[in-house]
Amino acid sequence: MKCNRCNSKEASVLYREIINGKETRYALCPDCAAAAQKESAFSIPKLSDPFGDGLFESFFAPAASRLKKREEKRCSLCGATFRELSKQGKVGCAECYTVFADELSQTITRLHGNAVHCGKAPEGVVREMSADEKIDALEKELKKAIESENYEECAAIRDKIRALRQGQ
Amino acid sequence: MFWYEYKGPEKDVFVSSRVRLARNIVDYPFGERLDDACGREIAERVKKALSQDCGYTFTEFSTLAEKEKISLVENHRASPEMLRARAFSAIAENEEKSVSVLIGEEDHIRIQAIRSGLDLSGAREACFEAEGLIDKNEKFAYSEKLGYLTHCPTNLGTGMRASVMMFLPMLTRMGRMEGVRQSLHKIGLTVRGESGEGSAARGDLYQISNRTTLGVSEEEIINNLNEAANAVAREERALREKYITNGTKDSEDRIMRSLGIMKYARIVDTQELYRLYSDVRLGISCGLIKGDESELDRLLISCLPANLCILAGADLSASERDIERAKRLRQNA
Repeated sequence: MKCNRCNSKEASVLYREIINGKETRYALCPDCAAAAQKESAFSIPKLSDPFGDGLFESFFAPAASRLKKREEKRCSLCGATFRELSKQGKVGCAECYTVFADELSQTITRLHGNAVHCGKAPEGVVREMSADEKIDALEKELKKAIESENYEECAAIRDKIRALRQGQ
Repeated sequence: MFWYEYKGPEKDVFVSSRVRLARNIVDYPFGERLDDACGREIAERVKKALSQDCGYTFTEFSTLAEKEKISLVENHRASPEMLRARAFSAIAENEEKSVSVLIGEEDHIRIQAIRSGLDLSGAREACFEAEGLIDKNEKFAYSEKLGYLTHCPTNLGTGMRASVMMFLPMLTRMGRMEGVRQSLHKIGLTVRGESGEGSAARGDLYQISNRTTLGVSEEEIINNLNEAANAVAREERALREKYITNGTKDSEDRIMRSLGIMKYARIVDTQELYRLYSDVRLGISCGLIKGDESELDRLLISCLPANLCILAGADLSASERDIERAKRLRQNA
């Protein structure tokens, strides 16, 4: 069977394309299949290039369109409205993350999932460790306690880990 | 010595490792909303903070000629974004030019450290050392939940982007890069051309970097990238072994012909430069050509348009640059 796309090479790949819920099937040669895959990746740059310009306009858009003009609030520091942020795809200042927390939550979840920061904090800021981080730290302590054959400490650490896991 | 003059580990596949941090100072707006007066205040504050380390030199972009700005980008000391410089844009660099603090980029402050070869931990340490100097004096925009607050929500959390510049000629020639790109995408890594966002992979050079910055620690970002990059390097090396070291005379012929052009040609444009670089670098890595990958990387950088003009001490036209480039290649190949 000849490739449905180039009509010259032998088809060896069944290629499924779903556009607006409608599925179309093609028999393609390996070269055309690779090209088709590449094209489809480019046609959805929002997924393949998360840093591309214009991305957030579409991410922000659903929340922005729900807002009526009369309801528009402004950021107390930079004066930006959410409509303006969605146009630019970037926030106006750090305060925007607090002022538009609800509106931005959808964008942030789509980008990063429901993640919470677990990296370094600025000097002077003491960050409360998450349960997972505490468990990781305790497991390291446990390993050391086992190596030094300090079994009393081992038991105490195990209890702490168990308590944290139950609380999760 | 500049960063690219060091030999660095695993140079056969890794050209350089880079870590950059995005930081903003509280109470100042971002991007277009930051006016020049506030921008200058930030520049002054950063300058003051970095003056604790006497190794840093501070340069205002407005004092630089266009070719000098482009040269900073060619040397990977500044990001391409800096070419759209604001009136207050500035760069502070350490003596080796391996750590740059950029002011007037997308965020108030971008701190980047670069190391030759595969050395992400070294780059991270250098980056945080510079960040620490500023952190001592300034209050960064930060929230417990979202981490460091950045102009673009893609950088929230650690604000850290770690990347390795990899030389992958065999994976490219065997048509495997699309597969590599897809596999790395699944584990949160992005593959781009050598100049970053939207650039083509000239010279078979690829930048691999983390996509996620929130919900992962700095250490996890580095470990994940290290592991994945090493897996890609193993594939590349296996292909080199099969097709070059134990391969036919065809591959060797292509490599040696490129060396011949490098040694004797009279006109070489940038596109050809990258092609020659790729062949000769592969030849060096596979032991067909005597040489050093670091020196070739340095030669490539010095043959880029703005660097050529600076080295020649003149504003050369495109055709004059092609002649000058061929001359430099003949002298150094």
